[in-house]
Parts: sequence; structure tokens; C-alpha cells
Amino acid sequence: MKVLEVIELDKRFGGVVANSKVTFSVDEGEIVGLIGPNGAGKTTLFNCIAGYHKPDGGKVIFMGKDITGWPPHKTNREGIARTFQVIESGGDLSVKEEVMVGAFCKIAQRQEASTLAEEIVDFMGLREVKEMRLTELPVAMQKRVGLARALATQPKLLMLDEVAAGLTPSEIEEMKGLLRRIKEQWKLTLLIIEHVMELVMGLSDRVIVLDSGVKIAEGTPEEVANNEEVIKAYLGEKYAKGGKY
Amino acid sequence: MEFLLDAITSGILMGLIFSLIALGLTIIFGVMDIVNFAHGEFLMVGMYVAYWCNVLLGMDPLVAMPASVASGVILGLASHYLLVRHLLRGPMVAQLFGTFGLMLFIRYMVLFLWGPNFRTVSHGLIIGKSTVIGGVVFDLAKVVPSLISILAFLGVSYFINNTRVGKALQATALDAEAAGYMGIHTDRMNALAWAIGGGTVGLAGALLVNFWYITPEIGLLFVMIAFATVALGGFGSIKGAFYAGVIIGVLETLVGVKAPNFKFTVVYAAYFLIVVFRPQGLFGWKR
Amino acid sequence: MEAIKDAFDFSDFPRSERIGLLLFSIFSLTFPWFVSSSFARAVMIQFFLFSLYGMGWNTIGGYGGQVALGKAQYVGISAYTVAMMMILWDVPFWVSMPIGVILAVLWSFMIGYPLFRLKGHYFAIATIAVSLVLQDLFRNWEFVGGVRGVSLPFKKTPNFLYMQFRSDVYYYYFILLFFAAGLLYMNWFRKSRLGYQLRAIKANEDVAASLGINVRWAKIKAYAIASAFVAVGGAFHTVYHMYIDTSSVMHLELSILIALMAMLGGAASLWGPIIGAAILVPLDRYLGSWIGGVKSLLGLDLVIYSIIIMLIAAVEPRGIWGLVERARAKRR
Repeated sequence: MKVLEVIELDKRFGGVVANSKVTFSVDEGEIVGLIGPNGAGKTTLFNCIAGYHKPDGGKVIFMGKDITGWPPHKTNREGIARTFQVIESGGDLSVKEEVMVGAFCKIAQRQEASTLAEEIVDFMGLREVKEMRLTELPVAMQKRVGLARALATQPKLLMLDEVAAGLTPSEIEEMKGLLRRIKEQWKLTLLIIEHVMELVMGLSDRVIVLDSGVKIAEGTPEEVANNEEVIKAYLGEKYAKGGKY
Repeated sequence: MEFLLDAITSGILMGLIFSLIALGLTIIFGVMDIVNFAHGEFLMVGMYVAYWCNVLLGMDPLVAMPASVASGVILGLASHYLLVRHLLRGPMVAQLFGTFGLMLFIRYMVLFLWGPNFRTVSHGLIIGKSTVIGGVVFDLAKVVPSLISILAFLGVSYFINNTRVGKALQATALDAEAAGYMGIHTDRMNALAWAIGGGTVGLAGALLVNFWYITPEIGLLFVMIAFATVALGGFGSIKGAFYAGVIIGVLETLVGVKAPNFKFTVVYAAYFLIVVFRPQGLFGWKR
Repeated sequence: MEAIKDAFDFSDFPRSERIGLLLFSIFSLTFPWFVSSSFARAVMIQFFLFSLYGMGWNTIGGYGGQVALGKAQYVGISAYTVAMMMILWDVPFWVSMPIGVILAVLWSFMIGYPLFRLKGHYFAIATIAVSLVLQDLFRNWEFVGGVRGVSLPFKKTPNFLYMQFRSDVYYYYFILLFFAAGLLYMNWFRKSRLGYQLRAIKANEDVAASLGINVRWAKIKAYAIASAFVAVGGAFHTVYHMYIDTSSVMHLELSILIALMAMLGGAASLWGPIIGAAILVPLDRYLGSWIGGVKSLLGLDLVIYSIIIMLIAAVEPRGIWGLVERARAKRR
């Protein structure tokens, strides 16, 4: 069944077209990667789906419901969780408390929320640092906290925004394994924005490519990697098949 | 009908002075993104300076203008170097509370030094004099300040748009970091903003003395008027401050005709309504 | 109920703080026994009252990070309600206080809804603007005595229905009761769902929204709770002083003091407002009584406050408790 359907999504900022008639869907249990050169409109697309921007045209359908233009807290309650590129926290919350905030999304009682938070903290290997603040942790751990608190909201679709950015190669491998385990454990569907090819190509069932706001390719990682348009977009005309270099 | 015309004229004149008061606030905000709660207190001190020049040195408030401007500049620079610079490191809450503390400090320092009594300057070149042109009464005590306010606006605008330093100031207002990379010293620009901000509102103080009473409490009223003016004009917009001041002046005077007790209540309410329903004001904000 | 258990559960505080709380409780309960100076008792009553104000402010200002500088209007609404209901219809305190609180909370919802479209400085100034408007309205409303204010009629004391007593001991224990209730509530609050949501909001609103938090609504709720707290304080103020006017229950200085209690002591901490009040109230009282006698020193006490404010803002925005935590972190 289709967890997410994005239909002819348009988003403009003043005169700049960020997304133009973007259409794709994500099936239950899939891992779908979203790639494209910088400025392609990937994060804007995320924001339109999650509710930080209102699309200028098109629709977003989640689990059969039209959630176009819904604000972020509503899309989250409905089942879409997302992580952020920069794990910011100006606050004084400890790791466990951050995760509890997420848990409180669907749970009203503190005891229950605490139990879920502990469970997730353990699963994500954060038990040793659960009393520390985000700013005290290394980047890789911060990312895990970001994941943990998003998971705590008990989503059906998890959208990850450049979760591998800033990670070393071994950390990337760890992250790949972690994401697979998360997906299995909580029966999630994943939509991943990524620049780090090892992660997105190694993990995704399908990949969607954006360039300048437009979807230019869609398919398995192999198909996309060999797609001329994709190569052109990333590397320029010269490197597409048939070009002279 | 004539009565109305008088009121509107008076409102415009008063409004031009509100514009001048708001000018400094909007510049400081435009350059630094900081709201100077103490702005009204700078005004108040400018008023006292003009007053003391009058009482102790026999100067007419118009002659005392440079002294008030100087007091404003000094206060502005002192505030920047001694306090605001240190607040920048902290969270916004701290900045808010910091300039708030400054406001209280100046207000109660003046109260402590010079007592709570109302004072006025009762004699001067333009005080208490008025002329009638075309059937409309013009209060000279407000006409001359209004003209000076317009001059000040022209002067500041010229400075901002046509001098190197002024353009550097604009650059800092638009993007302090980028301006910094271009060799524009952010800290000096901030100090300049405070100097101009303080100086212009000090000037307004000397002008105000011609027709307003002087007391340590006056700062709050005028800073709220300044907030409403800046909000209406658009935070950071000099042009906005100019027109918005006039509008607020007319509003306040007209309300004053029918319901004098609520003259300023309306201004506070105006701030609230503007910021909630049209936050960009008339001319949008610089950022 | 879990909530009650949570309110009494201080186990997540270090031992030293729990012992401090215990000692403080014993001290507070027995204070009137060993101190009979009515000045000292008045200071303690004021201390509990302002702690209550500060704790309430803390919900929106401390945990939520939204600096509200107009809380005095809710003190006033409740104070005037209690006063007028008694003057006009002889309504006892225990009926008029809840009504006063409800009216204050209703107003806070009405104002809160548009108010929380704003953030940061704009929000703070707007809170000042609204409270000034309300003060002007009350000042010009003859029905509530305009500028002159209103005095409450005296009843035979001691009177528990109307909360009038000749001896300050009664007032002491009543404000202590409200204070304790407030403290327990705050202890529950900081561990509750709303408490966590506010802290997340303070940290980063976008992230908070991504975790399912309706940011605006959470802020409004916290603001209403803060209003309820200060409204209770206002009701107490009325029957304690037997006279109110807009410059004693609705003035800007009060709003500032309320915020200052929490910010000085340490916003976003349970003990913060209490510490802040413990410093500011005696400072104000003793300084005031010293200065008050010397006319030429008028305003000096507020000069001192303002310097304190500027120092906190520049040196340690997290207040005194922030300094304590900083010292602890270094030792770790």
C-alpha cells in the first residue's frame, strides 16, 4: 500500500522555482532515497511534505489522507517523523529527556513515555550518555539522538535529512546497519535525503533524483547511477555517456 | 471643522517629533537586531540636559540642542561599550533583560539624582508662541522642532545613503558577517548605530522641552510610542519611521480631542494590533 | 494518581537539595513561633507571595523561554474581582478568589491567542503594551474607583470566610499554604508532558513542532497557568492589604519584578524563583525601610535592582542557579 504519494508538487520562493510538478510515491516498507545536486529542491520537498512550507500546487497524500499544507505538528501526529540536518539544541534537555519529548507526542502519561524513551535509548546505544546534553556529544551520537527522538513519536514514515553528513566511513556503515535495524524493529518506511552515496545507494530500494526542482529520474540504485540525465546533472555534459573527456 | 484641522495640524507636527524619536530606535534595530528599551530614557536625559542648560546657563532649549545631542551620543556609546557588547554573546532573553535593566537604571538614577518633581521650561524663543496661517493655528513650539526633525531625517538619510561610512552601516545592517569579511568593523558599526541612535533621540529631547514637561517617568511613555511608530513603519526602515511617526501623531491627537485619557492607550493598542496583524508594518523590515 | 505522586516526588534532585528543601520547610513552618517581629513576618509573607508570582511566571518565561513582561495585569484582574465582589455583594474570599482566577485565565486565553503569533522582543513589548492598555482602562473606570482605588470593608476578625485577621500569623500560614501548593504543582509541571513540551519549544521551535508539539497552543496553555498563579497571588494581596489601586496591583514595575524573581534566581529551575524572591524581597524591604526614611535616596533601591538585572543579563543569563550549576559542572 502506498504510504506517501506526492502529486505534482509545486513550490516557489518569490521568483525562484524550488519544486516543479514533482510526483512520486513510496510504498510501505520501502527505503526510498532522494538525491540530486545542491539546490535541487530536496529539503524544500521535505519541508513541503512535513509541513514547514505550504506547497503552491499539487498534493501530498499520506496513508490515503490528504495532508497537503498541514502544519508540522499535525503531520507528525499523523505519522510522519523527520530529522534535521543540524541537530540544534539551545535548551538544557538531556538525551533521555529529548527522547521523552518525542515520546510525549502520542503518550500522555510520564511513566509510559519514560518507558518508551528508555527502550529507544537502549536500542540506539545511547544508554551511557542518556543524562548528557546534546551539545556535549560527538556528531555521530547527536545524529542518533535526533533519530531516537523522531522514533519516539511512533511514526509510520521516517524522513531523514542528510543523516550521514559529517560521518566517517565507519560511522556511515554503522548508520546503515542502524537504519536497517530501526526499519525492521518498528516496521517503518524510510525516505532519505542524502549526498553520501554509500549510504543512499547501499540502502535504498528505489532512488529518486531531483535537479533544479524537477524530478529527472527514478529507479533502482543501479538504474539511476547509469542514467544519463543523472550523470549530466551531477557532473555536467562532458561526463555523460558519449561525451568526450 | 476648523477645530479638526487644528488638531490634525498639531498631530502632524507632534508626529514629526515622534518620527525623530523613533529614528534612533529603528537604526539600532536595523543594524544590530537589538531592541533598545532604554531609548526613552536617552530621550529623558536629553530633556534634562536641555533643562539644566536653561536653568543653570540661561540657554534657550534651541541653543542647548548640541548639548542634548552630545548627551545622547555619550549615553549611546557608553551603553554599547559597557553593556550591549557583552549582551550580544548571550541568548535573546538576556539581551532583552539587559537593555531593560539599562532603562530602569537610567530612569531611577535620574530619579535618585534629581527627584520626582515635574519641571518645565517656561520661557524661550518659541515656547508658548503660536501663529495663525490660513485660519489654522500653528504652535511655534511644535513647528520649529518639526522642521528640525525633518532636517535631521534628511541629514541622516544623506549620511546613510551617500557617505562611505553610511553605506558601511547599511552593509552591516543587511548582513553583519558578510560586511565583516569585506573589512567593515562590525563592532565600530554597532557603536556608530548607538551613537546616531542616542544622538537623534537626545536632539528630540531638547526639542520636546519646548512644550512637554520633564520628569524621570517620561521615558516609558515615549519608548512605547517609539515602539508603536517603529512597528508601524517597519522595523529597520528609516522612511517608515518618518511616515509612521506622523500617522501616530495624528492618531494620538485626534483621540486626544474626544477622549484625552486614552490618547496613549490607543498607541499601545496600536502597537499590539500592528505587530500581530501586520508585522512588517508599512515598509517591511530590513531583514 | 500519578500526578499527585509526581508532585511530591523530589527524588531526581541531589541529596543536598532535598535536605535543603526539608530544612527550609521546617524553617517556614515554625518561623512565626520564634520570630515575633511583625516587620520580619511581613517580609516573609511578601517573600512567599513573590515566590508564588515568580513560580507562575516560570512556566511560560522560564521553561517556555517566552519573556512575558505584563503579568501584573492578571494580578490586577483577580485583585479587583475579589475586592469588588466583596464590596458590592459581600462575597466571601473563597468564592471570589476562584472567580478572579478564572477571569484572569479567560483574559489570558483571549490575549494569548493573538499574542503568541509573536516571538522574542516583539512578544515582550506586546505584553507590556497590553498590560499598559489594561491599566489605563482600569485607571479610568470609575466603577472600580479609578485612580483612587478601592478599600475593603472590615469584618470582625478572625474571619476565615473573608480572610481578614488582625494577627499576621493567619496570613502567614495561608500564603505558606498557597506557596506549598504552588511548589508542588511546579514540581509536577516540570515533569509533565506540557513541561517537556515547553522546554523543547524553548530549545528549538521547529524541532519541537517536528515532534508533534503544537507550539502556539502549548505556549498559550503555559501562559494561562502563569496567569492563574499570579491571580491567586493577587487575590491574597487584596485581603492582606485591604486596599488596592492600579499602581499597586497592575503597574509595570510589578510585572518586571515578577519576571525578575525567576530570572535572577534561575529561570527554568524549580528553586530559581524562590531564590530570586529570597534575595529581592528582603533587599527591597530592608533597603526600602532604610531609604524610605531618607527622602534624598529615593530611587536608589531600584537603581540597585537595575544593576543586578544588567549584571545577570551580561554575566550569567541563567541566574543564580545557573551559577550554581556552572560551578557543579566544573567540579564534575
